[in-house]
Amino acid sequence: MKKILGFRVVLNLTLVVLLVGGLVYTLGFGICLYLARQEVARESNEKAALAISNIQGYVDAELKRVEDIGYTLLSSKFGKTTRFDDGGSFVTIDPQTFVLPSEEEVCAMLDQFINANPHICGVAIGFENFVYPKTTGQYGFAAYVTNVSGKNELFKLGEIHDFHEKEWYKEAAVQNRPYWSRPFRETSRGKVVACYSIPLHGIGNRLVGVMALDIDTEAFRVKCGEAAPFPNAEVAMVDREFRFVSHPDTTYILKSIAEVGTYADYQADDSMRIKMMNHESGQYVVNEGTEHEGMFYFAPIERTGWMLSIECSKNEVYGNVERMKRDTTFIAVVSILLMIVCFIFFFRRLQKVTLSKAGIESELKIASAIQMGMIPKLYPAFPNRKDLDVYGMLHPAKSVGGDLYDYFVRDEKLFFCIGDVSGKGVPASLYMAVVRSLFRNVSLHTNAPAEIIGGLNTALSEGNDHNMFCTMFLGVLDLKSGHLDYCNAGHNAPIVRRLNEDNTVNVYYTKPKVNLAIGVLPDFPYVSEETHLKPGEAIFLYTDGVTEAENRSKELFGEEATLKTLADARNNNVRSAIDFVDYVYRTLRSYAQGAEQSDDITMLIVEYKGVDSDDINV
Amino acid sequence: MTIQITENNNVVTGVLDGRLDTVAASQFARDMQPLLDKADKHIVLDCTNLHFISSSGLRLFLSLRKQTIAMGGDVTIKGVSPEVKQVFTITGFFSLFNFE
Repeated sequence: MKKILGFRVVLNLTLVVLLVGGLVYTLGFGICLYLARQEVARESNEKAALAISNIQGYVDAELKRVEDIGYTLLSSKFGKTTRFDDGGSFVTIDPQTFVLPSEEEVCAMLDQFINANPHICGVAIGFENFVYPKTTGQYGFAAYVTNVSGKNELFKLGEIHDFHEKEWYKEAAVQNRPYWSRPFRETSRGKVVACYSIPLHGIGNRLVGVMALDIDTEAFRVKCGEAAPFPNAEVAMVDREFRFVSHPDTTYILKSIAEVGTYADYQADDSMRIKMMNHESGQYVVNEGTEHEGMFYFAPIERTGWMLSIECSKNEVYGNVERMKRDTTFIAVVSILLMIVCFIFFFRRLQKVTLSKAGIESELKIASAIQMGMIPKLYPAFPNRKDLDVYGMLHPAKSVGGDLYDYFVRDEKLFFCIGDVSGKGVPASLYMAVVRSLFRNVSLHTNAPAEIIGGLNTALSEGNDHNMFCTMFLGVLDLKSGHLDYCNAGHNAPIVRRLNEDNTVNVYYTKPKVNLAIGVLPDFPYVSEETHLKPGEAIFLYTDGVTEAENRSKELFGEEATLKTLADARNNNVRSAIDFVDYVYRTLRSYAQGAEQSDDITMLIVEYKGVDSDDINV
Repeated sequence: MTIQITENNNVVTGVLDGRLDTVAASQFARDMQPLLDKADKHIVLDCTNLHFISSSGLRLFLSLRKQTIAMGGDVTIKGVSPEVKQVFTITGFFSLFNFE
């Protein structure tokens, strides 16, 4: 039972410690993780913003370069360029100086232009039909020069199709302002190009023609890949109609978002779509809670009305945090396992100690019961005798103790003794048991207290290597006469209760001859003394556990207080031996104020009531 | 409870300080071992600062006495307080030692 109890207690303790430890750990870990995620999110946002402004800057600069080159060419060959603040502009031919170049001259000019500007992959110029009325082209005159694998090729578009109806021409002509056409796949080489068209005006703002410059969008795609904030981040650009201009996967190019299916699936706020439609910047968490969760950043390319976007998967953004989480969890699990192992180890040891302690305790309990069985405890001690009232009490400070008392009647004589063995606990209790047995044996053969004590002394002095000793007061009371023979072997002086002539009570310490404690000197000559007890007189024997009882301040109860207590008991109408002893004991307990009992407390009271006890009325 | 032991001119002096109760006795038994080793000499126990002695303490004094008798030395106790002296008196030990 004790074992199971101990096991449960330790198990519960282990669980509590593990639980509390685990909770604290989890809480701390959670906070750390939260802060780390915040920090990572902030960093990721910063990185993305940096990448966006980087790409925006690059693309815008490239587009502007194309625009500038176009105007430079037109200004130098045709006339004055006027550009407006809103990006619109037009080129006006000056009729005073302008000499219309021949078709051949136009073609040569374009050829030369392509050679001079390698990043422009194609240039076209087309005219209204009234400008070159004699052209051979079925649809008018338009020249287009493009570089195919290092060699310029010339196309006279007027001979092929009605270029006036093509987007690059028509939109600039109709809107009467420069125009970035939607990117398209250029037929001759399969390049995806963006095309910038500039209208050309004559006198009276009349449209004369349109020049267009092609730029390869592949450079943008490369730039997007280079500037990606994370290695696997998806950086893309879509045009005004949400067709991909740039995407890591080239098969997406020129396909619409709807066609590809991306973005459309995004579980995101509707405000994100509205913002994208309105060409605003923004950042959103998309597909939250799914395995495709990620951060989505977007910003416009103002010049062309394109949208630039960056998508980073959660795993990539929070990769380090996730790794940290995994590592920390691993460490936590290992620590907890270690803790459990330690606890089990510790518990095993504790259990052993507890078990052995429990074993000792149960043995002590048995020893205590045996010891208590040796001393007379029944009250009244002699139910059939009216001439005697005897009661003894023994309260060891520990389970077992070295105090003893004993009494018995032989041949109408009461043999009684009280003793105190040096030391406390188990050693003293063994010695006490020996003393008590010797008392019983030796007392069978003699009525003289000094001889009994002497017998005990001889037996106990032999081989007493540990120098144990026992103080003892031993008395032999003749129950017929009240004659008391006694011998004191170094024990505390007994207290007697005497009756004066006028029947008043007198309680005082006796002054017996000390002799010597038993077990010290083998041949010590013990001396008996004698006195007489009148009916109603009593002798109170005690050990130093009574006079030296301590309170919380370590102050001793004292001999005076002991004497006073006995006197008070009489005054408080305490009569019987058992009540007397009980009264003293209760006084001692209340004096101790709950302080631990420091020594064995033993008391024995012998009251002689006389042969004709009915006559006694004290 | 402490004991300081000094030796001077064939006289070994142990100065006791504190309460020699049952709990202190086991440690004191070890501390006084040098005295037992020199039981062939005149041993003086200075008990001026000994405030209390229990029966376990008396037992140790008794051991020392036995040892000196066996080895030819003697024990003298000096400076005992009335309280300690009373313990010696009650138990009859007073007659076993020389008191100064």
